[in-house]
Amino acid sequence: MRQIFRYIKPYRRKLVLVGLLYLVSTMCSLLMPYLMSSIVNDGIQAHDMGMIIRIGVLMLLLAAMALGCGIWTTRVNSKVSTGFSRDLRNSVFQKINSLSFEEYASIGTSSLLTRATHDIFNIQEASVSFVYVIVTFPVLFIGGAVLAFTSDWLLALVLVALAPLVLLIIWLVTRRMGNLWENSDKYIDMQNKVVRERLSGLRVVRSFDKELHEHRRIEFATKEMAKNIIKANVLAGVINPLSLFLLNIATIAMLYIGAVRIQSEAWLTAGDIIATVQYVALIMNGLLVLSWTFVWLPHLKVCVRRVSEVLALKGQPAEQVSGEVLSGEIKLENVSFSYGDSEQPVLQNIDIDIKNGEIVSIIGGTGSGKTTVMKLLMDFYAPTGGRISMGGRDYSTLSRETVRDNIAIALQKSMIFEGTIEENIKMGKKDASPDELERVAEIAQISDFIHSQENGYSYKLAQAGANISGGQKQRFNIARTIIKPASVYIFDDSFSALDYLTESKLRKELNRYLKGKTQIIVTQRAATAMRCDKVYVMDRGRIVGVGTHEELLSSCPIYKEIYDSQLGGDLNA
Amino acid sequence: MPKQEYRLSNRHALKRILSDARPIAGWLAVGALISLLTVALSLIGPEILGRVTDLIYDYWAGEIPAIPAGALSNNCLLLVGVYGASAVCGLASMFLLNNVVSRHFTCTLRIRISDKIRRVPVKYVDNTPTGEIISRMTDDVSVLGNTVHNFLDIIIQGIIKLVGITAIIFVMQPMMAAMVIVFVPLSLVLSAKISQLSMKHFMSARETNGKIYALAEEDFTGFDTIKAFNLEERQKKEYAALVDKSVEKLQKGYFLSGVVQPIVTLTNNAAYIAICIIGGLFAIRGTVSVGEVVAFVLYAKLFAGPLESIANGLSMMQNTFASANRVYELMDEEEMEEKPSSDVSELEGNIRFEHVNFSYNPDQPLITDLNMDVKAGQKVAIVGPTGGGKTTIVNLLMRFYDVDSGRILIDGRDTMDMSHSDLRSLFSMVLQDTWLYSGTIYDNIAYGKENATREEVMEAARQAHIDFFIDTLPDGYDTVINEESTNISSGQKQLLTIARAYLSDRKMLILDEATSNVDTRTEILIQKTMDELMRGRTSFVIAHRLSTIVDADVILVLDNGRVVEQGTHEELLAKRGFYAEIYNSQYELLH
Repeated sequence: MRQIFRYIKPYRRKLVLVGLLYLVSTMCSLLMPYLMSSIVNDGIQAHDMGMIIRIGVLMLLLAAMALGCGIWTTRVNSKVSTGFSRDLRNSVFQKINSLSFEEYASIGTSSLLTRATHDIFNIQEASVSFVYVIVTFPVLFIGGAVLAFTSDWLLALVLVALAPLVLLIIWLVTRRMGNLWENSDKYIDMQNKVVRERLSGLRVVRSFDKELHEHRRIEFATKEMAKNIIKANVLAGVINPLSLFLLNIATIAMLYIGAVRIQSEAWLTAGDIIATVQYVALIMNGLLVLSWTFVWLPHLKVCVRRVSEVLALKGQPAEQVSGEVLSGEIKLENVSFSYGDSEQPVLQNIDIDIKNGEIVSIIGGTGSGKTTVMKLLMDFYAPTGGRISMGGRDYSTLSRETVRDNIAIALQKSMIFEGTIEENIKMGKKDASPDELERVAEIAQISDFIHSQENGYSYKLAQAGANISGGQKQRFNIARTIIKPASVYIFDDSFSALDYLTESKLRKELNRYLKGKTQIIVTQRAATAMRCDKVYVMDRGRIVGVGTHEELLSSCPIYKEIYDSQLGGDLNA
Repeated sequence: MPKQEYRLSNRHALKRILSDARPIAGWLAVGALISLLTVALSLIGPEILGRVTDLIYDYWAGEIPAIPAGALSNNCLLLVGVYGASAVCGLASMFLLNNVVSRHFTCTLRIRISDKIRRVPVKYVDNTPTGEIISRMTDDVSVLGNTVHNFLDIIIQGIIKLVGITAIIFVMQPMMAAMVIVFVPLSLVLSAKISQLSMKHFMSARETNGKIYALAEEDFTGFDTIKAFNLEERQKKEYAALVDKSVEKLQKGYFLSGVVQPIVTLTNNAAYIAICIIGGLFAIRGTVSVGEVVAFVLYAKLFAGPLESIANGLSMMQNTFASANRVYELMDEEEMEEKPSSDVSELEGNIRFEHVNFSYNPDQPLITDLNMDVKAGQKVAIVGPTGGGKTTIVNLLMRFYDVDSGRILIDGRDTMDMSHSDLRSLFSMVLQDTWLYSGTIYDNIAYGKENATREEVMEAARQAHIDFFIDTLPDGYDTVINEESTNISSGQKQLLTIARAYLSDRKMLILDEATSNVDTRTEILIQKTMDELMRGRTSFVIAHRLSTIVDADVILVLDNGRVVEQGTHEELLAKRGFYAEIYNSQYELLH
């Protein structure tokens, strides 16, 4: 909660102003019945037309004032709530981008996304009526009660006694609603998950003739969801008619009591009773606003909690990139690593020594720990044991940004951002010239594709590269990586979707282009690994062989097995 | 032919919604009756209250010596009854609306969409982002449901109320009634206009919001890329720019929609003041009683609520029609033509492609004049560069897409004349993009065979060499695979899909990069299973690793949608053509 309030703070003056303005306009509404009772008492009873007109003009002034205040409030209020939500949105986004990988994983992509978008949206919507709700009801209620007391204490008491009753109803109803909303959210997630799954696996689903089965799963989730939502809505819907009924009863009680008391108390006027009855109507309006607040409050509370959780995470604020250039010499000494509190080590006693300008390959099966080594190199995670250094500098003395600035990596998952080809490649180098773009596109074997598009480099790539093939995504990923000026270039399984012919061409040009720079090539293919200066063979989190292709063929059985399975013995056939 | 834009006119959208409501027409009639009753009751209230007020005023003004106790308590009791009944009716209509209308227009509509998905061609799903379909199924249906609900609840009641009140007050006192009514159109038009204006801003803010969501999604899924390239600052700026743009629109939208409230209040106040002044003057002359003035005031108050909601409802209409359009566009999507089912158990698996032409996009022909002849039980390998049309062959074989011209025959029967499920029941598939659903490992293996026994499932796992891994899991076969399937590796996932295919035991087999994610050592182990799986079955194998297909009966070399070479491994190598070039390129890296 406190996390969110911090964002309200800069607007507190304006909020006070909004509150005051609401106060004024609400008071105007309250004074109307009061003035009307004057018309009844002093005008009609005294047959004084001038009086009626005078009071009428006063009422008009009040109405104009209410309008002015109302518009002014809305203006300030819309500024405050949108400003507040803008600050919150930006902060949450920046916070998420600054999270460490552990923190990120602790919440997860889809949940972070919901928090950054949907939850904040709900908070923003609530913030619009925040002050209105806080100010209106108490003012109406207290003001109404005070004015009622000036007429008759007994009538006022009836009015005051009503509030706890209505609040009790609201409390009883909303108490159970949080649970229902939580349940319905759960089933919405489930429904969407199954739809997503079914659509993404449509070919498999249809090949097994399982469409009906998938449909039934969706039907189940949808029905459960609807059941909970309907229950919640019915509960919420009970508040309104019940409160109205109570208020109506109060009105009747007042008239009855008023009729009895006017005959015994000489000072009570008809105008007083008429005014008091109208206060009830005003309070009724206030109550309706309040009851809606209570309906969405449980939902809002969940949103606030979820967003606060993100804001409360520590994160790793980005430091300025120092621009320091390190040599491409990489050393891992006795490095080990395990995720979180897991006892299972992912890496054990890893020793890697790469000289500046070397082309080194790391080969191994899935789950052997190759990618984890790259994550440590990028300083995504810190090793749990051992040391890593680059250019002779220990990682503990370097900022994350400096490390990342000196390494260009093509990650295993080729990320394509929605935007033009140019924008995607330029992520590697902001101020790249058109010549540079063309050069890396040629090397990455994607130049032909680009020029076959009508608008060339301005061709729009869809989100996640939905309008290009897996091979094309990899090539853009490579282009983006090599355009970045760095001392070390890492290719994490970056050639897997390319056929051998394309890979062979690409690698040849790559080696020419990156001459003198360190290259680390992570792969499962023996053919990819074999031409490197040095090959590290990984298996189950350990290095099980180091050397050149020829050396490993004779010294490392695992390497030989990989080689034989892929290229067969018929190399010389 | 470019697809025509789907556009329902407002009138048609309304008609569609109404015709969709037909199954619940009976309940709607009941609801309307209850609404009518509720309104009638709420209209009697102020009139009786006015009578009681008259009693009080007359006594106070000295016109009657005492308030008649009988009339007072009778009227009060009557009021309690009226308001009690009104509350009961209100509850009943609320219950009905939620349980019938909301359920019908949200839950049932969603299920109908899910049912629709069963019948649309794969092409539609391929070309429509998943998020798009989900947002139609959830958000748009919600908007539609809410509007129908509100329409019945607030707007219909509101209109009845407005008409009723107008009638009553005109009967009571035409002059004063005219004063009240004068302000109605003014307030209505003004607030509807403003709401419409604000809606425009909200819509454009929503559009920007969509972009904000997309950017956030992209940023979060590319979290590691962002970090690797130190792009935090760039992303921050881009995000802030979008947020600013949306905030600017939102602020206008909130302001305009907020302004409706004070304006409605003003017109209400104006009416109130008019009643007070004119009523006061009339009361002095004795043309109306004070009670009537009070009743008028209460009626004027009753006016305010429905006015506001009608104005709001009108401004929401555009939004609703937009949603309705999106929902009905999906519902009207062209469906696959379904042929009647027939007996396919006798088919052996001789496959013939005759002059097959196909393209995903008319501008770019992909498969042109493809011919091939596969004997039952043969192993056919399809090789060629990416984009050459290998996976398309699978799409055509399984009829995920239909050929543009030419025929595909199985034992002489045109696949176009077979029902989709008959045709597909002939094939087992293992694809590169492994797909498992978030159920248990057991259910996933058994997915392809209903009523599979536990022994069969375990045997399939053993054959796919995944049994050892499953046994190491604490929950074994009952381990639930989570949404992102992060609790097992991509290689293990692929082995599970192989087990699934093994268990389903179909006549023909399609292996599209079926072991691409499996590490090489396991691949050797599994090769035996694969060989056994292919024995006696017509099999189509697509593989990058040429070592796995050298023993194929026929190798089809596909380039630019054409079979450029065809033959056995040895024949093709001897030819020194395209195949030989591809085959040798994998060794080229050596030199």
